Amino acid sequence: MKEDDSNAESTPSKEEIDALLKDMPLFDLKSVRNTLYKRSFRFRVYWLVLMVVTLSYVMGWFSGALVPMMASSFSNLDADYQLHQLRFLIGFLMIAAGTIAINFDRHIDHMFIGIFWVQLYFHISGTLRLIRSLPDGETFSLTTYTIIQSVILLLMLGLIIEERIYQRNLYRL
Amino acid sequence: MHRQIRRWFVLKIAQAVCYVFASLVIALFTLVLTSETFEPRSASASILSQDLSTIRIWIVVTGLSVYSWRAASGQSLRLTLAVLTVVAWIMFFEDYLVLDNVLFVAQHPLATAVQVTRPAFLLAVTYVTFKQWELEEA
Repeated sequence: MKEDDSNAESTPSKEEIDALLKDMPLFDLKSVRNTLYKRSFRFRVYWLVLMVVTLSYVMGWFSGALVPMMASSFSNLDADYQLHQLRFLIGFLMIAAGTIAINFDRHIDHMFIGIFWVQLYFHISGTLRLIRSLPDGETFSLTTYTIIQSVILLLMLGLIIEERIYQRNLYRL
Repeated sequence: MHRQIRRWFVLKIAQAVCYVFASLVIALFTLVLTSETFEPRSASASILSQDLSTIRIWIVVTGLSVYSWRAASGQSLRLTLAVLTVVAWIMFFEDYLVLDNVLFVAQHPLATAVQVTRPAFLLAVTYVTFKQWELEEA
């Protein structure tokens, strides 16, 4: 009987485990929504528009609508197509990393500054590739590509600025 | 104390590796852009490799200049290093997964030197970034 009591004491209950885990930062999963509601209205709008643009891009990619506008369609070079595929994957990893930063409410500005520079690299090299690959007189693809990439960059810049304002206000308080 | 000196020494070696690699890359890309001996598979492959080389040479020069300037003026370096490290890894993946079939300068001693030192550079720059982050957090 005494042995049974000791066994019961050594096994923590579910409530005890929950109480222990609650104070551990690793398990303190704040939802994206909670973090977004702490930010300004503009931050939420920028994030929402960024997600809509990303979703549209994915839909455009999988439906094949974007393919005729890519550099590989004009240069007929496999490397161009593979490069786009790789950057497409990295882009989604970056979106995931940004969402994780927002979810944990940690290093959001640092994360988006990093993503911004990588995206700028993609934008500049992608635009340069299109300029060099496009036949004379073809401007639609270049204009569309530049507008999409610039909108993404501007949205991220907006997110960084809003996050910096939020952090500064938080520090003042 | 002994451990601190050893860490300081490792950090300095890692920084030296980064500087050496940056110098090699600048030299190689200058060669790619100017040399007549460079043989791409086709005209379009030549344009692709030249485009990427042009962008990368500017990234390396800009990154090195910004890093040196911020280090000299005593400003925070961790974010600059983090961005440069991420871009360096992405360029490595691009080269390894895609551009291996496009660039044909591997025979040149400079290209061999870049290929050999690249893994050391990636490790060094990642180490320097983490160390810098740790130093500035403290």
